[in-house]
Amino acid sequence: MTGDATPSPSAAPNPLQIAAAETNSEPVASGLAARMSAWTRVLIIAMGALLVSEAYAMGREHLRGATAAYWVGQALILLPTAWTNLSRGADARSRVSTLVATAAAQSFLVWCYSPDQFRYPDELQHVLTAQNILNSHHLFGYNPYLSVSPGFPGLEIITTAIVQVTGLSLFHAGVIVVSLTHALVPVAVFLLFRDLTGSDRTAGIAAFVYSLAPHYSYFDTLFIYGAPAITFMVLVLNAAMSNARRNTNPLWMVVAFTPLVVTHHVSAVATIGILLAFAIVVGLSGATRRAVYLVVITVLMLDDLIGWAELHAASVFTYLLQPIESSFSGAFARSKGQEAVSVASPIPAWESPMGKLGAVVMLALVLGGIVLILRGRAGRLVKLFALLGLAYPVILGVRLLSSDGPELASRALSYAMLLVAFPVAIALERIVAARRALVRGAVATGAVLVLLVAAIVTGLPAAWERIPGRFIVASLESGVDQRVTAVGKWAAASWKGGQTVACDPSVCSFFAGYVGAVPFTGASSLYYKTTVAGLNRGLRAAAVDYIETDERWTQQLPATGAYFIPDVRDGEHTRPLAQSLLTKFDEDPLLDRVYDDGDIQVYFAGRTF
Amino acid sequence: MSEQRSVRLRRAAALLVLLIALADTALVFLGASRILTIPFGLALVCFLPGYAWLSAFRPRAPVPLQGLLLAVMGSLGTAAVVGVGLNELSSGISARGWAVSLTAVVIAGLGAGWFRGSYRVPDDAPAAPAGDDEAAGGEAQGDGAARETTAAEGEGAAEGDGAARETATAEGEGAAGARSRKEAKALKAAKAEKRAKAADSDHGAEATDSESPDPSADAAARSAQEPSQPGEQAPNGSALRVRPTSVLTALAVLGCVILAAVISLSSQHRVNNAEHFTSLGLADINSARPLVWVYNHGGVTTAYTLSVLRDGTVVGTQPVTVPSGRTVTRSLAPYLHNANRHTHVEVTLSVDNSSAAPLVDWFQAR
Repeated sequence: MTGDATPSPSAAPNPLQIAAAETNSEPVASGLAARMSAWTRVLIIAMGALLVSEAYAMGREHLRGATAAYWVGQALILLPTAWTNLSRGADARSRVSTLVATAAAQSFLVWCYSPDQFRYPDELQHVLTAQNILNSHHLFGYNPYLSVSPGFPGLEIITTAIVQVTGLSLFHAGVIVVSLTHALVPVAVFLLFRDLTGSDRTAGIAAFVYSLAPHYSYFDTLFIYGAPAITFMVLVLNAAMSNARRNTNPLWMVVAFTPLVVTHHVSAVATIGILLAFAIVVGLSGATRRAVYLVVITVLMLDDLIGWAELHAASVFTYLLQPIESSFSGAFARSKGQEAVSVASPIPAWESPMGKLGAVVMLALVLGGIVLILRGRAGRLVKLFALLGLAYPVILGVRLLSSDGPELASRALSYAMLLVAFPVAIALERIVAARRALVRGAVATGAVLVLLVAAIVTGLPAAWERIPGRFIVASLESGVDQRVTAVGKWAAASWKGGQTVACDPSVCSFFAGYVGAVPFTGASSLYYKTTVAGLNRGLRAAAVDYIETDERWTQQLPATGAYFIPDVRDGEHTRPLAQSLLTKFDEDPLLDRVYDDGDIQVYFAGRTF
Repeated sequence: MSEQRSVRLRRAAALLVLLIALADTALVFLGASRILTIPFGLALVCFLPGYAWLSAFRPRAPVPLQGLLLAVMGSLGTAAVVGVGLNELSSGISARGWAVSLTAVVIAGLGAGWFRGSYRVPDDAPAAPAGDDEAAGGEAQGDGAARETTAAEGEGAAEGDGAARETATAEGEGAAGARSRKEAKALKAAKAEKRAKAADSDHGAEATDSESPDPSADAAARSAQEPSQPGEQAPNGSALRVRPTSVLTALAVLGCVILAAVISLSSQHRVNNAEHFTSLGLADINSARPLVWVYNHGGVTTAYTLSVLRDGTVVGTQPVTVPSGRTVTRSLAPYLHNANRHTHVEVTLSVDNSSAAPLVDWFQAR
């Protein structure tokens, strides 16, 4: 327990006085907000989830109106949460229940999107680690698909525990774990900001703003190690905030950090980064001794993380540095593939400008919120904490300058929104409390709507697979149909793992996720060889064991702009592949066709080397 | 809620937690049906360990939902760490290992709670009054009054909030000696005063924010109307009275979820079975007994004719009946006598001797 002279909570300045008392006028519909019960709000959200699931079903049946149903459903899910948390009339129970219901609905819809199996490639990376644990009964096995995954097996440990103790399938156990942890994220975020501000309303708005992170609604509730890690991370920050505001034992941070180290490297690093920033804030606010304690504990946690990584996941250092280096070595050089998307799978023209508008609105709210807090009567700790919201313009800069900007920025915002949410919440609170009702209503409604729509269009699933049901070659979930599943089953029954395979992303994710095969990253050049001799030379050089083809490549353009990962012709495809590029495989006397379903063929290339 | 009643509830909950954990261990060792292992197993992995430790270190979480958060995430975090420990055992990670270790964690947590006094009534705790429920309601009111609800409610509420939280902290860490009982008592007295103020403002509960001149009094009034915290007991024990409308709404929510699940599963099932195709593959091609693998997807049980050609000559045919969604394997060994690495084998599959199905060709590579 630290003992320096931190102001007691009773003396802690209330940051919300910034926005307080400007007006006595009620925000729009606050009377209704006060009267409506928490269950009624949850019911509206549940109806939204029902409508979105129906939109997915309509998509699978190729019925018209699926997109409209999707957007109406999303409105029913998100608007009650926005309205409840922005209004002054709602009680804390309604605020938290809408936030939790929204998160639960998002997890539920991820399951509705793919209710029979994991389809997203990143999920299959963790399926392999979990399967290895179930098969070997030990951790830290070999995962050629995601080499760092076995070193951070927290998600897989919890999931396999449920599988072994309950008898549930890996799929169902995984869905339960990630849904449970995702549904609790808003509770943790709400409590974090309530500790900071002392206000249920500001905490509710901040938790709502956090939920606008691009990956929050979908990616962060997939079967990936980041899903439970984010909740552990917020718990660590809760412990730090609680220590700063209420003088609780700082060792709770270490307790919460321990499972985080076992679970996810990036989340652990982000936690340490945020804690160090928070320590600086605490130090500058005058509580030097407490800040020193915080730094010492954070350094110990960093040491813990490095020790764990060196022991169980030495490759993580390269794994983390490599994408950062490659992203910034090509600053201002954007990926070619991004232009090809519009050729292959048109995205509605309004979505890109809406995403940009959302970023501008968010930036304005961040800056406005910081100014409001700095000009208000809040204490130094709160004012300095608000300055951490400047992480948002930094991330926008990364998005603009890095060659892999959108991906990096989206992932970073899952963490940085914890810092950004506070000033945005204050700004939104101020707008809602403005004197002129018409202006207030228009600005608040407009800003919230833009943020909500932008959160959807900049997140996942991408526009071309937002509604499931259409097979799209070489894509993410929409590239997985029954033929892909069947070839995966065949490979699982026929191979022992470790084979080098050349394939498109969807099939590769099944070969790698269910069998442990190693996708060959130079595969695309093999497919574009025009002669059998050239093909054999390439196969021999790469020692490829199996190579897969799909007749549908000659009928469709890839949605992502690339047929393979990586594709030497990424973004250059203006028409589907020529049939001759596939027939050469049948003409090759050294290739054995060992699988055929009419569309997908797999060739054994072992005789070429 | 009186201290005595609260402790009684904690004891009962601890006993229930212990029984569930022990029962799950027994179920795992007996290899019981999944109908039993699923609920008990989920409780053991996702809730009980965290609850046990929470009851030891924070017997009175300031917010019930915070208790749920800590219990669930504490359990999952415990599982992650225990799994690393199980990995060190020669038996590795197994169902029995999980059952024993997590039950041990639960017992340790409950034991820690026992030693820390979580299940003992403090010596200075007042005796339970006759109207226990009223006391419970009063406490909820006090907490609600003490907690700031909106931006406009000013510092007064924040002070109350601080006092209430300090009490909670003191309660949670009391056994650790962070604060003396006297301090906690003093804070309780302050809280009781606040409670009395809240009760005084009960008559103003109908007032809206705009009508109330004093935001903190207004917060108290609102808290008297309904609980301030999610899951918190309503005033005067109203949490025990379940409103019919709430039950109906909850059932409607459940109905929406079930309906959405049924819609999703049935539509995915239809899509999965919409396309009929047959896969033909070879398995174990580098072994002495390679297999032909026939997979019939969707539709109905299908009778195929499997033909094996060796260097262009048919060396065998056989009927293969494959149920829908199933795989059937046949050995190729009978057709590979004296085959060498130059032997070319083709396998074709046809339906009713008419439409040719996928063809697999293969050079004997042994």
